[in-house]
Amino acid sequence: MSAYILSHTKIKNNCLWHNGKLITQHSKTDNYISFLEESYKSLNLSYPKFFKMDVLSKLGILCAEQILVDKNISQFSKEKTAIVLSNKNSSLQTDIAYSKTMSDFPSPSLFVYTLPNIVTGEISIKHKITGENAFFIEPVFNAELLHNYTELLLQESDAVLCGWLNVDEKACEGFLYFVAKQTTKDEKKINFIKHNPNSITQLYIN
Amino acid sequence: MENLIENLKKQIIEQLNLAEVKPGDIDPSAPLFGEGLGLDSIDALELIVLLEKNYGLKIQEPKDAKHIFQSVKTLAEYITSQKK
Repeated sequence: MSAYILSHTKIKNNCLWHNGKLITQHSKTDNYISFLEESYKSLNLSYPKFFKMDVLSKLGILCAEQILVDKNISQFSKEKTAIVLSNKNSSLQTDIAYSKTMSDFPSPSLFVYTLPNIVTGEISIKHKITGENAFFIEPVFNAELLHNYTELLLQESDAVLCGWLNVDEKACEGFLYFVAKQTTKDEKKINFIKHNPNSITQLYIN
Repeated sequence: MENLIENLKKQIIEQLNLAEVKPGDIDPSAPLFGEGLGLDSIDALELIVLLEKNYGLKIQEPKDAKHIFQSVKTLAEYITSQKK
């Protein structure tokens, strides 16, 4: 079975790239939360729930949006699209924020984000994806793990949204890519990337 | 009552992170849940926190919550009635 990476998005250093093209950049702020909210506005997304989400979910929604609204991607069956995500810090920033509210009035809206895989749920809800999902905690970005798990899932699924979404005190980093075992009719028009650990690593680094 | 309604609008926007909503957008008589502001079950919990944190009020009878949280106006009426 041959699988290909059809699309990829990265958020790092207050820049958002889609398929290697810079989509939005906010050099005026070093606050990554402001960057995510400014990006939401500049991309004209209409999803008020975005502002209620924790940073990890905001990061995931912004990365996934670039990939999943593409007409080459949206034609894939939502029932047969899986999601495999990973990060280093789990939901730690939200856990800390929630713990700070516990001495006064524990916040229900923070509590619901005190698991890292909530972001997979938020992406699934917004894009009506109902396939398998998994979230791995790894000390560093692990292309081999994502590759191997995705290849397993592709035995039953048509496509997988994969990647790395990490938030810490000083920065956030998002890298999502879409893998499919079946190419689209436009295959010849687009330079699809072979799905293997090396190509995933190259996309993550570059 | 009008001052209380305006304060409640601001507090609801802040507590529920309704970043794209302005106080003037909220019709005091419009339903808070389902239609109107379209709030969900987590928002309902946040409204309970708001009542306790800002007004020192706890809803004693859960069955009363449906009416109290019907709109900003009913919420204001409940707060006013508890202060008497």
